[in-house]
Amino acid sequence: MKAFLFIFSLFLMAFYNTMLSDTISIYGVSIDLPVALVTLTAFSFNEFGTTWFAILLAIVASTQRLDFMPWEIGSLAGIAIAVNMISVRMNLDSTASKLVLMGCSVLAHNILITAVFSFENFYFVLLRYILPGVAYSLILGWVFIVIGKGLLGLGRMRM
Amino acid sequence: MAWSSTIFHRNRRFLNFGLTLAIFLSVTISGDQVRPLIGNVSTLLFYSPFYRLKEKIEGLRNVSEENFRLKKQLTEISLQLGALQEAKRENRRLREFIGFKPPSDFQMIPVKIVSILEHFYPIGAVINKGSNDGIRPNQAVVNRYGLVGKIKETMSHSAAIQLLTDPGNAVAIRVADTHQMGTVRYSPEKGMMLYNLPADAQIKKGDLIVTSGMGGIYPAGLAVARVDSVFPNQGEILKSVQLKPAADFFGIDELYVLTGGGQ
Repeated sequence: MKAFLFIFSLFLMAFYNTMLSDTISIYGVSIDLPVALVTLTAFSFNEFGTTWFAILLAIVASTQRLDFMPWEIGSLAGIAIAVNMISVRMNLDSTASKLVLMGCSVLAHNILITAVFSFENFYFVLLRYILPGVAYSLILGWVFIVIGKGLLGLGRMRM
Repeated sequence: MAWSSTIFHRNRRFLNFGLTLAIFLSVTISGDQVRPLIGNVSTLLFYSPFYRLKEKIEGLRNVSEENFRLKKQLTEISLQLGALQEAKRENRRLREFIGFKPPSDFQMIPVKIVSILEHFYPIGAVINKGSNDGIRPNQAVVNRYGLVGKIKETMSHSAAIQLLTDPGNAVAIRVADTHQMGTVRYSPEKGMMLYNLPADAQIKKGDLIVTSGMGGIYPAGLAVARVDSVFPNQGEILKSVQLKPAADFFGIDELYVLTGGGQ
């Protein structure tokens, strides 16, 4: 189950990058799928599995932009470890708290990537793309959390 | 083995951090060698199926667009071809009509059919010219093959034709070669028939039937039909002859109204 979900997520990432991102982006605002997947994994799986999943997902996510790869690996692995630690130590189980954590992760990831590559027009990018992207990602995250809890029972297990 | 497992579990977080850091540094420092290699493996494993899928979808989309474009082009070309064929037919008809001589003292007014009146087959038509163009009732209407009918009613800018196929329209005729006279009338059951021909009249299949000019409506000499079959009526004084109309009433288009001639 765990391996299947991980592999499925990696393929989903590739599918998103190849075909889905252009289709579902709204006026340039797109979902931060890697962070959404990593945080969702971090809520349900242990630190070791989450970290390695984040590394693999970062590699797959940055395959089309190889110069992003180190930053993706660093940021996603960092987010995975941080979210996992916070959710375990604070014993987060409510959907709202998970969404807050996910929103913060998406925000941090986007700010980091934006800061690394260009700080030009940062506030414009923040308001025009990053914050709407956080909201958009949270919608997806909420759907995933609901599906995960309802169908897969991921909220109750910690593997 | 037990001690190594214990060490791993005790230092799991440290190992995790360490390995993550090692990967991050290796990808960052030796980027030109490691990143393309990792990228190729990732592409091969995860991206290539979607690349192929996207390629196929793009191909299908292109085929669909191409199909739509070609259909549009085909429709346009079909319309152009139809117009050209119509022009070609018109050209041929006009060339054929150059050889058509109206009876002396008659002028031809070219007219176009606006609508056809049908009762299982065409029996009347409305043309695009009327009394303002000099058209009057009972004027003969012809096409390049011969007599088509006569003007029945006129309006200022249109007129109604009573075709020869109308059973109420009788034409005084004669056989072109023998000058024997009779009457042509269209019967819904039998088609165009020649009546009032003497039983001993010399007539055979293929003979041309022309207007006699005796009825006071049609000028003499207009082709009406050709003899299709002759029925020998034993014991009767008159012969009935089936005719094949000179004009194709299912395909009439350009017509001419004969005016003048003392009318």
